[in-house]
Amino acid sequence: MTFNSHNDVVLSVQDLSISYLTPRGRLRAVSHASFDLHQGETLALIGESGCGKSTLNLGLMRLLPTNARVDGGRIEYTRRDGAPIDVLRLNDRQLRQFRWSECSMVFQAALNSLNPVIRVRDMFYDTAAAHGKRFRRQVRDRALDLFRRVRLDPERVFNAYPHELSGGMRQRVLLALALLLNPQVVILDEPTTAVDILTQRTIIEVLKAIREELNFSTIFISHDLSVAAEMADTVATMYAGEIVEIGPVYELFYRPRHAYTLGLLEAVPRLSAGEEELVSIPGSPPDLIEPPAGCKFHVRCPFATDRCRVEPPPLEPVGENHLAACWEKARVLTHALENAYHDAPR
Amino acid sequence: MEATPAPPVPLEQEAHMPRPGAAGLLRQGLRRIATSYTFRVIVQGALTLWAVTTFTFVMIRQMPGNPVDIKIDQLMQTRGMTYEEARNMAAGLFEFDPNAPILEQYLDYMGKLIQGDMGQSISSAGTPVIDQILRYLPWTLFSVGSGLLISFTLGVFIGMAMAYWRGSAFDNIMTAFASIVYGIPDFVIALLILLVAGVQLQLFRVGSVLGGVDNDIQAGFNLAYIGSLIKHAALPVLTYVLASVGGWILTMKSSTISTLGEDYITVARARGLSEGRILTAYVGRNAMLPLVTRLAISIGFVVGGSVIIETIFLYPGLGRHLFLAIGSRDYTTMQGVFLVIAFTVVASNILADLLFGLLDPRVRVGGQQS
Ligand SMILES: Nc1ncnc2c1ncn2[C@@H]1O[C@H](COP(=O)(O)OP(=O)(O)OP(=O)(O)O)[C@@H](O)[C@H]1O
Ligand SMILES: [Mg+2]
Repeated sequence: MTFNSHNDVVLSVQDLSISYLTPRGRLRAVSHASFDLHQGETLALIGESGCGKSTLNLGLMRLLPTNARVDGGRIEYTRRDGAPIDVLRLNDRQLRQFRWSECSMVFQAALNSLNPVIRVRDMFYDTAAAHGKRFRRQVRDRALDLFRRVRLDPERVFNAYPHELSGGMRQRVLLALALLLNPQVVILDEPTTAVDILTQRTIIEVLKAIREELNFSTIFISHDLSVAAEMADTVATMYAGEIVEIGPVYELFYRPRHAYTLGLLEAVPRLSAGEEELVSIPGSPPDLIEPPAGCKFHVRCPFATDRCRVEPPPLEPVGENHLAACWEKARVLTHALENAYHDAPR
Repeated sequence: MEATPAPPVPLEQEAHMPRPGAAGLLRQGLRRIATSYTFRVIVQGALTLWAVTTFTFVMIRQMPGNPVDIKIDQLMQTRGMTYEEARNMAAGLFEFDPNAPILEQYLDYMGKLIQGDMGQSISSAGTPVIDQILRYLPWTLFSVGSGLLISFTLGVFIGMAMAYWRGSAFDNIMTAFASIVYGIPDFVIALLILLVAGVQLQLFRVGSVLGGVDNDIQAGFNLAYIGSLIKHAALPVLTYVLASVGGWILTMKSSTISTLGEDYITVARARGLSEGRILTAYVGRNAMLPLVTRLAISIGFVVGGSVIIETIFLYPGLGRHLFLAIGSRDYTTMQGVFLVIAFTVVASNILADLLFGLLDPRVRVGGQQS
């Protein structure tokens, strides 16, 4: 799939910056992030823990905790009827309508995402009622249909309390809940990290299937590059709050231009790896309160030059729909091509 | 809504799916657990009551003096009788023989108790203990009960508001208030009310608020009588409220704060739910869970907690009755009131279990508990 035309963009994020006010000072968790999400596209966000993936996505739904501030930028959303929505300008009532019916989210802490004292069905009814859908029969039918799609026993799960469900089941309940109002954008924050490998597989399969059937766009956050490769049309690499590289999945995995993307790829274990060594990225992510000057990755970067230490690299086009923010693009690419270090994404 | 039918994907048989044949077995098993739970509760309760009764039976007889001695003293002092005269008179007043062996007394008492007979009061001979209890208990239930309800309700609302507006002036003032009243013993509060508001500031005439009801008013269901009841109950109730509201406020505040930090609250916001719905079904219900148990347990202290306060306000409840019974070494009455106290504590603990199970599906009684 390629996404060239500009009129099928559902979500456009421009220059978005978000900080947290902490006792130690201002923590820049997302810094000048920009990307477009097209209809039916799956965008995978990859990056180490603490690089701002969840913050970015909470920002998109304006669900940031009270100590967070949006420092600047725009979030433009286009409804199915073509009407544009400036998400950062919505008032409380409009925001409530926007949430879930246009853009929903499966949270990272899926196990604790359901209210323990009420039944699953009441969470479905609540959600529908909040969006003016008070016909319980319809809500029920829709929910049961979704449960079937995510391979849950519809009747039993619908009437269950959250604690009666396993982690994998709860994850899928949330997925069904996220799809209840047929939103255009579904954000999945690490939907597979809290569950075992088999459940992980089931969830991936389910996701791929319903994505085809229900046609929504997805922002998919993952630590797992092989999962990202399998799911995504486009991949964005985040480092220390910045999107440092974004491009079509094939491009980014085979012709990476940012040293950090390359580092992540080299850290993926491969079946065919043989005696080749697994290279993990040395060092740890920088302090976001006082980030290093120049390229924030330079401290850990094997390609770093003097320029990298002082001058932050701009995010520049390096191919079709492919952008990277690295001064040493050419050397990174050469290195990547020389060491054909990874298997083709399936 | 969605039009295309779902594909016939295989359903997963996960976790505790009752299979058709197993349904009967499961139901049978559940019933067995339920009965055994009830059975266990009853046995435990009965054992507790028996232990308390035995213990108090022995303990109160270790107190210096017995009912007859106390009465003799009293007669000698008030009527100027000689010891001989007083002893003869006292012996005629009481059916109680202080010199009977304690084991005999105990077996006699327990034998009657099992048949539901608490015996006769020693100091007011001829009055069954149960009649006195039934006469005084309503006063205590009314005053302590209203105190508890008012205090709980105030605590829940104030605590929740403080958590919502954390760090505001309201929060700071209420935190200070709650911490201070929480630290003052209830009898000090009662005395402060009487001395400061009554005697010093003369906000009310102390004489007119003591007791249970004004004597010159016809008892019955009329405004004057009810008004008088409320007037006399007001200060004890105020004391109970002030003494306990701090605890409710602080508990509710911290419970609400931790509930507000739960992920399912963020998810509820993400789903576009109204603040009202989130406040009640999501924050409120979860934040109240720890308080409900405490409330049920507090009910157990209704009688025990009223002794000093009722004595200070001369309020005609079971607490003051117990105080007077202790003064005259009225063994049977003390015994009866202690039994009531033990019973309310046991019952309130069972109530706490049941309530908690009702509110929190994760701990339904008979499930995890057995
Ligand atoms: N409520 C908060 N207050 C202050 N700092 C926060 C808060 N939430 C997150 N942060 C900080 O913001 C940065 C980004 O956090 P975020 O949760 O977005 O990372 P993430 O990429 O989602 O990580 P993970 O993969 O572990 O979920 C981190 O450095 C984190 O410490
Ligand atoms: Mg995260």
